[in-house]
Amino acid sequence: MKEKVLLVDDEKDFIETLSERMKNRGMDVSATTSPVEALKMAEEESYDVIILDLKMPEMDGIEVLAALKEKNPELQVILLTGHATVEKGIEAMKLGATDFLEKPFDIKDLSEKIKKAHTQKMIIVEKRTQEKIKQIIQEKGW
Amino acid sequence: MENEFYMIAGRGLPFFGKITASISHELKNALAVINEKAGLLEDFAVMANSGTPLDLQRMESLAGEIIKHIGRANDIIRTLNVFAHSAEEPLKTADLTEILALVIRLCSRFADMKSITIAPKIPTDPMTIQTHPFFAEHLICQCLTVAMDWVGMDKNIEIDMENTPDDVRIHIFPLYIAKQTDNGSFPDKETQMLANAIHARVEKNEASNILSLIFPRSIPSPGCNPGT
Repeated sequence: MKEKVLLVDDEKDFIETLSERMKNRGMDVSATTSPVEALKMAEEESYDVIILDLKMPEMDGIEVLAALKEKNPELQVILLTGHATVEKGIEAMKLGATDFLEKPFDIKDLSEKIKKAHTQKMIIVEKRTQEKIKQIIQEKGW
Repeated sequence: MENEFYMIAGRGLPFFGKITASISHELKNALAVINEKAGLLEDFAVMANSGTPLDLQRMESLAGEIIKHIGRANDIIRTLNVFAHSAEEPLKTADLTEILALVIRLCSRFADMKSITIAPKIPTDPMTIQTHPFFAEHLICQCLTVAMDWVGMDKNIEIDMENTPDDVRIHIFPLYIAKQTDNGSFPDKETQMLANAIHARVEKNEASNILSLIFPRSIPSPGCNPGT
């Protein structure tokens, strides 16, 4: 199953090239340089994973992460950072980031993290479906 | 004077750290683009091994883009190098147009992060003054940072320079100084001390919303010398 990924980074050349490489690896990739646009896209579409740059104009990556998580707590977000400081990492994890990666990175590492996040999402969705079925069975008294 | 020097130096260290951290971020971004473009070339080679025909035009264009971003990374390093050396320079005759251009390059990332455009009109002819370059850079950067907080809704800062017989002036405008959040306390004590060390003045004109930095052509007494 194709991983549906949204890439958000203000560096146009970076996301264009990374998108192409991820598509070459069988992923379904959308990309934007605008964090505001990204929030809109995440509302309109369902993504398995969002890859988000930490430092962007308009909105800080942490702000975007908080806004995304508020609307959809189950969303899987991987943060990209220029310098992976422990403080930023802790802050990101506290806000619900699935993982974070320091730039520049090996695409193999990113692909692995995307796969892990996708699996995590599948587990959450499956668990939620089971809970729903259980609730229906209880309600109907089957 | 010694206490004053330590206070200014104490403020200079975080300034140096803030600038170098910002530059290293910028450099990381350039390296990330180079990394992806080189990776894409590698992908093409792998695909060619599996029988996909090579698109030579695309490869040529990718190589050109890599060269462009290497140039960008080199410019970033060159800026960092000039900035780093300025910290060890003593009182000297320097071109204020060059110092201003350097500070604008150093602050460009902070402006980008706030979606602010800086439009400098830097004269092509040199405007020489006697100063400590690092202190001058720190003072200009301090004023530019404050100006970014005072900028209006159009998020545009203009900068021009003026030559007078006694001094060289940098004007930053249009700002909404009257609406500032610091209740008129800028320039604060530490900024004032920094300006005093190089005999400069910071003046804000609330009527015309201009922040001006006035640098004397020469410094009468030795002052604080970071090079000694």
